[in-house]
Amino acid sequence: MVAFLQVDLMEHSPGTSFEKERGVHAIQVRDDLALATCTSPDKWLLLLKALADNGIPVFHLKLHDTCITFIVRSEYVGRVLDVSDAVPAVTVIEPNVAFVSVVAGAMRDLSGIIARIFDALVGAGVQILQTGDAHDAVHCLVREDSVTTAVIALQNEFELVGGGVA
Amino acid sequence: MRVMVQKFGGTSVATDDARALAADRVAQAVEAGWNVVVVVSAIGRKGAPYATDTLLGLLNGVDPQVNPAPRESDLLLACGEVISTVIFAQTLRARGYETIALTGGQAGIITDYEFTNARILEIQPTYLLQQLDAGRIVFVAGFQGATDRGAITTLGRGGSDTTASALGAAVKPHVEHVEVEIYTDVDGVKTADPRIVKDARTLTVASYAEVSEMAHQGAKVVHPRAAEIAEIHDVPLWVKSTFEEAPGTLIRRASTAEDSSPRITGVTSTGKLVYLRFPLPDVTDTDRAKIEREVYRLLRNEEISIHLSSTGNGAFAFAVAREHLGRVAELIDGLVIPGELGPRTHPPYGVITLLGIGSKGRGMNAQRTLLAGASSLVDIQVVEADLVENCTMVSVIAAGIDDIPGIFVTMLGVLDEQGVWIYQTADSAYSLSVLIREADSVRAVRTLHEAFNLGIAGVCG
Repeated sequence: MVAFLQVDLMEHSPGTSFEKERGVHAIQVRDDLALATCTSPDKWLLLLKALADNGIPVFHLKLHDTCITFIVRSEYVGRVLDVSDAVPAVTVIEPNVAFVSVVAGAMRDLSGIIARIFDALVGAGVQILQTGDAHDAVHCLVREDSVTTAVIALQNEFELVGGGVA
Repeated sequence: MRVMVQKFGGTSVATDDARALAADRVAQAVEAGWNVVVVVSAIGRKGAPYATDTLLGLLNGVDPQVNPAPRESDLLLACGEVISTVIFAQTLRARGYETIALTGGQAGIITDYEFTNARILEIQPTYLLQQLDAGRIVFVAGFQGATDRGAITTLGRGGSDTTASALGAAVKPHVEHVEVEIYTDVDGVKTADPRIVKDARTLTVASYAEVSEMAHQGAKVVHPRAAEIAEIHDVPLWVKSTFEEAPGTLIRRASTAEDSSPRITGVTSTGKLVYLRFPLPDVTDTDRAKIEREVYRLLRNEEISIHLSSTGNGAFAFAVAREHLGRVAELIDGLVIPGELGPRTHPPYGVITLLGIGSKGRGMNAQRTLLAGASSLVDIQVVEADLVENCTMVSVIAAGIDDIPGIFVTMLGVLDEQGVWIYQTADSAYSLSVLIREADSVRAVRTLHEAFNLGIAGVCG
C-alpha cells in the first residue's frame, strides 16, 4: 500500500491559483518501499531485464561505482530476490523505506532547495539514503521510522504551515 | 460567443510574407465564426531591431557594470511586443477588419511585482470581452502584464505562450467555448526534434502533462507554464504551424484511448551539464551527509542549481550547468570539512575531509600543505571529484510509466548496445532520463526514437 501525505499551500491560498505556485508548496510521502542494491556490476542490465520480464516495476534507478540501486514496492521484495537469484546476481534489500519529496513549481529555476533539504534533514538527525530530482520535486529516501521527523523538519524549513494530511 | 485565442511567435510576424500568412490564420478563424484574440510576440529573434534580446542589449550597453533596474527593464522589454502587436493589428485592419491593439495591462492582466518574471495574479477580461462583443479582433501584446498600480511587468521566459493560455482561461467562464492556438514554425508537438530525427512524427493529441514534461525536458514547442495554466483551467490548446496547412497537435486532459493509455510520447535532450562525483568510501554516513550539506550550502549561496543528485553507496554526485563549472571549482576545491569527533583520548581524534576538483583549482594542494601540521592529531582524507565535462540529459517522455514494463531497461539496453556510456539516470512520473556525453546525444536520441518506434503512426498517438 502506498500512503500519500501532502501539505499543499495552494489549497490554503484561495485566489492565488491562476497560475501554479512558485517555490516549494508541498511535502509528499510515499512509503511501503524497499531499497534494492545489486552488487554484481556485470549483471545489472540482466537483472533489470529479468525484473521487467517478470512484470516487476522498478524506479529511481541510480548508478554507482560498484553497484546499482533501485526502489521497488514492498510487495515485490520476495520476487525481486527470486529473480535476482535466478540471474544470478547479488541483490541486497533494505525494507521499510520511504520517499519524502519536496514539491515545487519550476524547480530547475530555483537554487538551494537541496541545500535547504539537507539542512533540515541532517539537522533533524534523519539519514538520507538516496536523493533524486525532477523538474517539480526533490526526493529523499529515508527509513520509515524517520518519516515523521523528516516531514516536520521540512515543513518547518519551507514554512509550510497550516496544511493537512491528505 | 466562441472565442479563439491565437498566439504568433516572433518568426511568424518577422517579415511581410510571414505576417501575411499569420494574418490568413486570423482571417480564417474570423470567417469561421470565431471571436478572435491575437497574442503577438516581439518581431524576430536576436538581432532583429525590436526583438527582446536586442532591446535588452541596448539597455545593458549603456554601462555593462551597472545592472538596469528590473522595473525599467520591463518598461523597455514590453515595447517589442507592443510594436509587433500594433503592426500586426494594422495588417488585419488593412484587410478590412475592425481591430484594437492592447497592452497586457490594458487586456486586464494583473501580475505581482516580480519584475522580469512576474506571475499572473488575476485577469479582468471585461474590456477585452466588450471589444470582442463589438466585433473587433483584439490584439494583445504578449509577455506582459501590469501590477495593481499600473507598472508594466514582463512574464519571463515563454511569456507570450503564457499570455495566450491565460487569456483563454480568463474568458472561459464568460463565453460559450474557447480554444487557444499556438502558432510556430513546426506543425505541432513532435516525437523528437526534427532537426535530429528526420522521421519525427507530429502527435495528433497529447495531454497537458506530457507536453509540460516534454517542454521541461528540452522540447521547444510550448512553454510548460502555458500548458500548466491551460491544464488548471481546462482550456484546449492547439500547436500549429503558421507556414503549413496541417491539423497540428491538440493538447488537453487525457481523455481518449489515444492519450489516456500508457504510451511513449517522445525523446528529448537538454542541457549542457557537468557531472561531479565525490567518492567517499571511508566516510561515515553522518560525515557524508555533513559534507554534502556544506557543498550544497555553498552552491546555494551562489544560486547554482543542482541536477541529477545522487547519494549513498560511498559517494555523492550531482550535475550543474556547464557555465557554472568555474565557480563551482572555486567554491569546492580546497574545501575543508571537519567530521564528527570520536570518543578517543589519543590521536587521531577525528577525520577532516579535504575536497578537490582536479585541475580546475589549486585550492586542494594549498590546503593539503596547510593541514599537514594537523596530521598527527586527525586523519586527513583527501577526496578528489571525478569530473565529467560536456554532458547532456536525454529523456524518454511517457505517460503511465509504471504500466509500461521494461521501458527503463529497453532504454538502457539500446544505449548500451550503441556504446553510449550512461553516467546517471533519473525518473519522474512522466519521464526517464539518462546523463550521457553530449557527443553521444544525437545518436542516443535517434536510437531511442527508433527503439520505441516513435516514427510509426499509431504507436504513440
